[in-house]
Amino acid sequence: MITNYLKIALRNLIKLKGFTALNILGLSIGIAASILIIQFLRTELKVDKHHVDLANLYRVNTAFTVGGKETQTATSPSPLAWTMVNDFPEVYQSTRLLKPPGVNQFLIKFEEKSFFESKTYFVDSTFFEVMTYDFVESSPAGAIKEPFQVVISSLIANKLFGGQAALGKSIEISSQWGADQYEITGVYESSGLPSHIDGEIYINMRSGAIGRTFYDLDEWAGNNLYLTYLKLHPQADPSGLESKFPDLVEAKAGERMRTLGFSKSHFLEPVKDIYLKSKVSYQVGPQGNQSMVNILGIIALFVLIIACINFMNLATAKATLRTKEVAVRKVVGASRKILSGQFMIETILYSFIALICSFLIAYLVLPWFNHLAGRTIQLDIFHDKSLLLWTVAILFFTAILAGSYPSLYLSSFSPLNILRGSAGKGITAKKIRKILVITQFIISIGLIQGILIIQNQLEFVRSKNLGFNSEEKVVIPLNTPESAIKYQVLKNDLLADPNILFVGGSSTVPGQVNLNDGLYYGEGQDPSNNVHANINWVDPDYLTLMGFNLDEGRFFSQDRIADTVSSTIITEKMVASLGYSLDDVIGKNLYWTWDGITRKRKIIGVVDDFHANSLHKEVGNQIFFWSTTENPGYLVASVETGEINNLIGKMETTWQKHVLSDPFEFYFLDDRLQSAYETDQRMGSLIFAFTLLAIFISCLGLFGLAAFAAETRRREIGIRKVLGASVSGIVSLLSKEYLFLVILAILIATPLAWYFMTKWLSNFHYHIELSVFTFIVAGFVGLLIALITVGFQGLRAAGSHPVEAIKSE
Amino acid sequence: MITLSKIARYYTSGLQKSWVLRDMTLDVQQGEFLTIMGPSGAGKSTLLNIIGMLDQANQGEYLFFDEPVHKLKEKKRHELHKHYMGFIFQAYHLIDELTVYENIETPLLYRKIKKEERQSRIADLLDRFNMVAKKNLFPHQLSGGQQQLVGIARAIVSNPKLLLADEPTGNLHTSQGKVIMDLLKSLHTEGMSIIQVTHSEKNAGYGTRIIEIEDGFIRKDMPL
Repeated sequence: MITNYLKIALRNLIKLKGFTALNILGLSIGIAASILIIQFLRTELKVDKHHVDLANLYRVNTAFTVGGKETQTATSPSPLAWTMVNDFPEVYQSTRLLKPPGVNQFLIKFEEKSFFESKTYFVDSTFFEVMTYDFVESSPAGAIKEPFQVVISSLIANKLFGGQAALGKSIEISSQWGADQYEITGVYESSGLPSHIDGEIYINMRSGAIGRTFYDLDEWAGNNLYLTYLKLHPQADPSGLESKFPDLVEAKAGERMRTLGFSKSHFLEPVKDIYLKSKVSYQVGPQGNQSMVNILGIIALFVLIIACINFMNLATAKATLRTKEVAVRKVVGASRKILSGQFMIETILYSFIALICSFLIAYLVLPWFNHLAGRTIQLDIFHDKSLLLWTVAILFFTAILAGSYPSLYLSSFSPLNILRGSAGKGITAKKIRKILVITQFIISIGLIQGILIIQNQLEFVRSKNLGFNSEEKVVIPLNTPESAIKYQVLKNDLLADPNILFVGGSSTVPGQVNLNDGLYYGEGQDPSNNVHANINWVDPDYLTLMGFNLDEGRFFSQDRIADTVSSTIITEKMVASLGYSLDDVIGKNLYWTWDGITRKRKIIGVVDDFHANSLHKEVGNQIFFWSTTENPGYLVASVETGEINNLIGKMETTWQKHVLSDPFEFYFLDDRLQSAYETDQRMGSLIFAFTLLAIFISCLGLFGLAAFAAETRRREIGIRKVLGASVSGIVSLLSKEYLFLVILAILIATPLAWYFMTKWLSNFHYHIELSVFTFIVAGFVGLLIALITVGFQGLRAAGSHPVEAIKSE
Repeated sequence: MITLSKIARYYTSGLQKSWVLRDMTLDVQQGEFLTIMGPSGAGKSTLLNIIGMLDQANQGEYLFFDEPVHKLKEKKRHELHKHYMGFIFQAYHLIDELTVYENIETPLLYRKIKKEERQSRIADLLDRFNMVAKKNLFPHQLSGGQQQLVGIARAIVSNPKLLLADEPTGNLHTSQGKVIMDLLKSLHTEGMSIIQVTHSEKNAGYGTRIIEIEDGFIRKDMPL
């Protein structure tokens, strides 16, 4: 029986080659897209899921309240970790991770090899007992138990030793805190077990100058620099544990926080949620994006649904050609159940062929997809069992969704009328097909609206005035004391080149995490009524070259040496925060109190607010001090970019002349700032790509349907032509009903897209306003695509010879 | 075998009923070769379809081997139809995508008959109809007469008790028609009950009894 079904299915498939190709192509693209997205989502959801006792792993985050405003960070104070293990029975184990403040990169050296590595962290000896890593040399138990021991990733091991054993080798690690020798006590596999912690090198925290300063720092209120991870006992109640935190904070730091003028509380965040859901600042690694995961998941489903709808539409349209077969089978004894079974098997066959094609497609576009998504996703159907399961699930989902309706529909034909000779006329599933077409267009138009808004927002982000000029700026980080003390020499030498216009130095540059901050208040105000501001230690040239716009007063002046100790420049927002007004702020003072001592600086200038962080975040208060020490964190050069490669080469030569110990590193400021929107851009391009796919598949289906409609109306068209209908009249006759469908789809899609895009835009503190115009444009694009697709078929039908069409009946 | 009493069939379009059959009462014995004649639109095919259980009467009783067909559920009626009826059409109605062999095989598949049995039955028929060489051809590769031979083979392969033929030679040349009618005749001689609808007096001459219907009534009922 089944062989009989398969035989007839295959013969039908070959007989209607064009139709079959349309059908299978649509389905394959849909399945390929879903497979790729599913693989992507699986890699996103896999992060941190490998840790042993994952359900009991938590990070202690901190919520600071300053001037009525709350900010949350992933970091907490040093003694928290050991205090919790000792005082709270719920806590089984704890460990800390420290990214030493002010150190952006460490210089790693082995024999003649050296490079910078920023993903270098200081951790407690228990780190590898709490977090699970896949060790390829040594084991977690024996690793970094003692000072000056280090665990590295296989990536670093390869870089240093090129495949040779790393265990027991000694490497030098240096920063502005000094240089020390470290023994490698473990190597773990870089790929495979993704974690929210992006470290490549883990150093025992008791090592060197950093260890002396930070390992047992007994400070509860300030210095919230550590990531504290807890492993709870299996039966412990995390919320019960959390309720003990306020008393602990009050006992240890309450008084001191009141003196300093802020308050804070701690809360637990499950490690399993950190990668996708954590919203707190100062993470140690790139964050995933839950909304991207959700949106892509929905899109995968949409694309698959669109493909299935296509299949249904084409199958029911094609059904008119199968009516005779159905009728005959019924007469010779087939029941409805048996017939729907037959058509179901056909759909499964189609889906299976589509599945094979879809894997070919998926493999072909995989590199491109990986490029878009910024991941290294693999499709190894033979070894990846879950992928295989997912594939089978997709096959059944598709077959059931796509096959159920056509098979019920086809098997419902009554044989009587069909066999009278007027086979198949008037048997249509028009209504259902219309609903299906509308559904497709709702999805497609909604996606078009979505991408237009995303593109607009990304363009807004690119062109927004940031309060300074990020173009043609080369930033050179000065990571080690050796390079920082050469700042003045470098500056003078670089300025000798006519293509380098200005050189300035600053403790921080926009786009970098600035941990340098303080609490300030205005004249006549209570010290407790303070505001938070980030400090920029700069030299006077930095302000000019960055193009900060001066609203009032003046910049620091080389002629007035007092500026270095008694003056400050602040941003507009800071003026308001301090309770001053722009007209009379110049000459007033900025106050701060630390440890009972009050200090002040005179405000000599006000600049426009500037975005030191990405546009996801609100602009913060910023103040500038003239750096009295001559070792800024960054050297910024304003350059002519005409012959930039040449120029960078010259800068490197200058660097090597003066800084013997460190390799030359640089970046372009505008590039680095854009990288804050990488996730958004990725999401934009992915959604863009899949929207194109969705539209393409919808068009395939529409194309097929229109072809079919034109075919079944050949006689009518022929008669109309004989009666004098014009080509345009016939095209509009065939297109009219789709026009109505697409307009209906626009009306339904718009509010949905509006809702979801408002949600997405709320990720940005600075974003575009949704405009009706965008939605109209998107609708128009959808309409145009539909009409071109349908109109093409109309033209073809209108162009056919009328006499033949009439004769053919 | 068949007892129809006061069978009526009408179609409603809007408020109007258009009657195709009214008050049709008829007995058919096993072994008869009955011909239904009458002008176009007289209800010949409707009667045939009701007897063949493809259609249902609006009124009246239909007993088939004493089973009250008019009271049966869809499923049971389908079973009766499947086990006792064979159909032949004017337009042959072979499945275009299946070969001669597969077309004849289809009814056997729905009756869950084993492969060896299917092969032997089909081989016998092909042999009898001189179609062995054509068993792997598709319908469009055959002449009309040959297609109808396949149609008959398909109708009788499952050993039905009753063969229903709706103008079986209507699309054929005279000589081809004669072959088909001779075949029906010999099937009848072997014991098959046959009911045919035809316009042709000559074809009617092959049967054992003729009824003429007009406007939904039986006008004449005469044995030959």
